[in-house]
Amino acid sequence: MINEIDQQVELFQHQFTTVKSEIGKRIVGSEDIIEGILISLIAAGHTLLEGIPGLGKTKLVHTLSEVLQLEFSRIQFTPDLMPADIIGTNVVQENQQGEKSFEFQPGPIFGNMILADEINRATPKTQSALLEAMQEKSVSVGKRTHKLSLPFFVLATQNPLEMEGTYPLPEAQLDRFFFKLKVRYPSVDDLHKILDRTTQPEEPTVDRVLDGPQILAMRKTSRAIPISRSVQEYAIQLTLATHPGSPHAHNDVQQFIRYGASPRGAQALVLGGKIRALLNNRVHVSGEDIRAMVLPALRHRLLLNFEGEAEQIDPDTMLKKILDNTPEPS
Amino acid sequence: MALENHTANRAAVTRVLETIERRLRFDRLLRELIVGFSLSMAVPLVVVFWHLFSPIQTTTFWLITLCWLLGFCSFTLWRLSQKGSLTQAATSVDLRAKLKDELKSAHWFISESTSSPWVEAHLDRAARTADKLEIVELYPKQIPRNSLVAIGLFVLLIALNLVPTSWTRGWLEAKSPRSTETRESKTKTAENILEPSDSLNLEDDPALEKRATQLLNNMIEEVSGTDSMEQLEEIRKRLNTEETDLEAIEQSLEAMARAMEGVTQLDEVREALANKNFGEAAEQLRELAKHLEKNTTTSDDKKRLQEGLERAALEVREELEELSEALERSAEQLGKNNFKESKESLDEAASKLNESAQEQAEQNLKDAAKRQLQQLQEILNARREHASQAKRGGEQSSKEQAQGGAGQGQGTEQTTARQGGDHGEARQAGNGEQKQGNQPAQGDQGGMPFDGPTQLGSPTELEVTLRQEVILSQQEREIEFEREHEQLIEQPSRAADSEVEYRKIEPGRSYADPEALGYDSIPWSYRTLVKRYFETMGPRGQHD
Repeated sequence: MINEIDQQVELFQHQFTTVKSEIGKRIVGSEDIIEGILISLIAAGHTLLEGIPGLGKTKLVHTLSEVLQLEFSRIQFTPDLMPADIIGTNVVQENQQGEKSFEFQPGPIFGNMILADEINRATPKTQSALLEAMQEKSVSVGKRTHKLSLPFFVLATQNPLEMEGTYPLPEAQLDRFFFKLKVRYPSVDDLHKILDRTTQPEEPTVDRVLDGPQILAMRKTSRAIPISRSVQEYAIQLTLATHPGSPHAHNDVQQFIRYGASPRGAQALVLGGKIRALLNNRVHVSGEDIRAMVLPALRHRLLLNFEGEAEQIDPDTMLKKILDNTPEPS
Repeated sequence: MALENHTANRAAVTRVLETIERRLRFDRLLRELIVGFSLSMAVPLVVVFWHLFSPIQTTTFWLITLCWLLGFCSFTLWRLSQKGSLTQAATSVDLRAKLKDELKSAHWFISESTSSPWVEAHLDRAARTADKLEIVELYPKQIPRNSLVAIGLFVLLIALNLVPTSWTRGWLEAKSPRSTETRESKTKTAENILEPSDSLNLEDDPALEKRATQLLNNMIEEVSGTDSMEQLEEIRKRLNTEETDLEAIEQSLEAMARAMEGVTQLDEVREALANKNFGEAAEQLRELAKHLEKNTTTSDDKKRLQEGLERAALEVREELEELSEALERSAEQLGKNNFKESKESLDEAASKLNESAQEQAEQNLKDAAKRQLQQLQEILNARREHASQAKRGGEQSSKEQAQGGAGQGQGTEQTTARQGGDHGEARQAGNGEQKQGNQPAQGDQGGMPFDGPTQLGSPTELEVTLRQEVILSQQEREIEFEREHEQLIEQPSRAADSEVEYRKIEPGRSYADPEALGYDSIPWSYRTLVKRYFETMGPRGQHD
C-alpha cells in the first residue's frame, strides 16, 4: 500500500513537472506563476492574473490550454459585454415542422478552461455572471441549471494600471479566485530568451501532456494528503490574523484592514499546502507549505479601509507582517 | 505484517521523540538551574557584602541561608517536576534537522490514532527519518555559558570570605567584625572590672565568683544586653549588701587618734591614723610594742602611754571592740609593768588595725567595682537606647521633614532634645530651612565600641521647650482666608481704582463652553480664591 502511495506521489510529481516544462518551452521565466496556476488548477480553484500589458499573461494561458487537453474558451471582457454573452442564452429554434421553441445556446463559459481576459473591463453585472459558474460549476439560465464539465478552470487577467473605464472586481468575485498571481516584469536574462524565442521564424511547439481525467486524478491525490492539527491551526491563525478584530491581528492590520480573508482563504492555504507538499516529495503538510501559500491565496482577500486605501497600503506588505508576527503553533 | 509495520513505525517515532525529550529536559534543567543558581547567588553575596560593612548576627545569617537554600531547593524541585511534551520534542527536532514538521505531524497522527494509507505512508517515512537521526550531533552536550557567570559568582563569594582583613571573618562564622572588636573591648573592660574582685577574694564567695565568671562569659559570648544588665545589677546588689561600714570605722579610729594626742610614743600611730593609713598605724604599734619589750621607757613616759592607750581604748567604738579591748589590756599590763603582756596586747591591737586596714582596702575595691559596674550598666543602657532611638529616628525624621516641607514653623526657632539615657538629638528649624542631625550629647555612647572604662562627665541637662503646634480647623482656615482676601483684594480695591487700562479681549472660549467649564484645571485649594476674584470683578461686561 505504501508503495502504491509512493507511486502516486511520483506520478503526481512527474505530471506536474511535465506540464511545467512544456509550458516552459514557450513561456520564459514566470515559473512561480506557472506553478501557481497549476496548483490552482489541481486544487479546483481559479486564478486571477494581474500584471501590466505585454507580460505574456494571455500567452501563458494559451500555452497552458495547448499543453492541457482541455476545451479552451476565451472571453474578452468589455464594458458592453452582457452576462448572456458569457453563459449563453435561449434562442428561438424552428424545427422541420415549423414549430418554434426556445433552445439554450451555451456561451463560452461552457468549457474546461476559460480565459477571462481583462475581466475588470466588464461591468459588475457581467462579472457576476461568473459567480455561480466558478463556485458551483454550473450555470442557471431561466429555470434550468446546466452543469459544467470538469475540470472547470477560470483564468482571469486584469491590468492594475488602467483604471479608466474599468470596474474593480467585487469582493464576492475576488473571493472565488483561489489564487491571485502578480506577473512581474521579466529579468534581463529572461528578456533575452523571450526575444530569442519570439523573434524567430517559428514559434516553439508544445505537446498536450495532460488531460482532464488526469487532472482530476491529481486533484484526488492532492486532497488525500493528511495534515496535522497544528499545521491546520497555523493556517487558521494566519487567516484570522488578517481580521482587524482578531487577537492575532497585527497593529497595521487593525489600522488599515477593513475585512480579512474568508474561510475560502484558509481552504486555499491548506489545499495549496498539500499540493506543494506533494511537489516536495512529502506526504504531510508542513508550516512552510502554508507560509508559501499565504501571499497568492490571501492577498486579494484583504479589503483595505479608507486609511489603507489613502496610504496605498500593499496587501503583500501586510501579509508579510502577519507572517512575521504569527508563530507556528507547537 | 502491515499492521506490525505500522506499530513498529509508531513505536520507533515515539522512542526517538522520548529520547529527544529527555535530552531537551536535561538541557533545560541544566540551563534553568544554572540561571536560578546565578540569580539566587545574589542573596549570599548581598549578605556577605552587608556583613562586611554592617555585621549580621548568627541567627539572622542562618535564617537567611536557610531561606535561600529552601528557595533554591523548591525551585529545583519545581523545575524537575516540569516535564516536556513529545510534541515539543518533535517541534525541536524538526527545526534542528530541518524535517519540515515531519515528526511533529507523525506524533500528532500517533497521538490521535489517525489511520489511513497516507498516514501510514507518512509514519513509515517518519520512522525511517527518525532512525537516521543523529541525536548526539543534533543535541550535543555542552555546558551553558551561564555556568561561567554562576562559577564567577561562587568564586566571588568564596573570595569575599577569604579576604584577609582583621575586621572580617568567614561568612560561615558570621561574626560581626565590629562586634569582634567590641567583644575584645568588652572582655578587657570586664577584666578591668573583675580585676579588683580578685583581690576581693571572690573565692570566698563561690556564688559571687560563679556569677561574675558567667557574666564575663556572657559578655564574651555576646548574650543579650538584657541578661547582662540583670546579672550586673545582681552583682552590684550583692556588693551593696556585703558593704562594710568603713566610715564608722574611720571615724572611730580618728577619735582614737585624737585621744592619743600629747603622747609622744603614740605620735607616729596617731599621725598614721589621722591619715587613715591603718596599715602604717599597725606597723607603728608593733614598733611601739618592741620598744616596750625592751623596757627602755621612763616611768613618766610609761604613765603617759598608759593614759593615752586608755583614752584611745575608750574612744574606740563598738565597731572595733576587739581593738579597744586589746588597747585596754595593753594599758592595764603596762600599769602592772608587765611589758611582755602589754607588748602582746599591742601586737594584737596592731593585728586588729591591720584587719581594719584590709577591710578599708576591700571596701575601696568594692566601691571601685561598683563604680565600674555602674559604668558598664550605663554603657549598656546607652547602647540599647541608641539602638531604639536609631529605629525611631527614621520614622521621626520623615515625620519632621514632612512638617518642615509644609512650611510650618516659619520664623520660629524650635529646639527639641530628647534625653533618653545618654543620647541626645537636636533639631533646628527656621525660615523654611530645616536642619536635622543626631548630635551626640554629653555622655553619648551610642554606637561607640568599648575601649575600656569610659570616663563619663557629669550629667548635663537641656532645657526643652515644647510648643504646641497650631492646627487650624476648616472654619478657622476660612476665617484666615477671608482675612487675607480682605487684605489682598478688598482693601486695595477700595483704596484706589486700578491703573490698568481695560481692554476688551475676546476670549478663546465662550463662557458657555461646557467643556471649559467642566475642565477641572483649578486646584481645589484655589477654587474659593478664584471664585471670589471673579465675584469681585463683577459680571461680564461691567468693566468693559
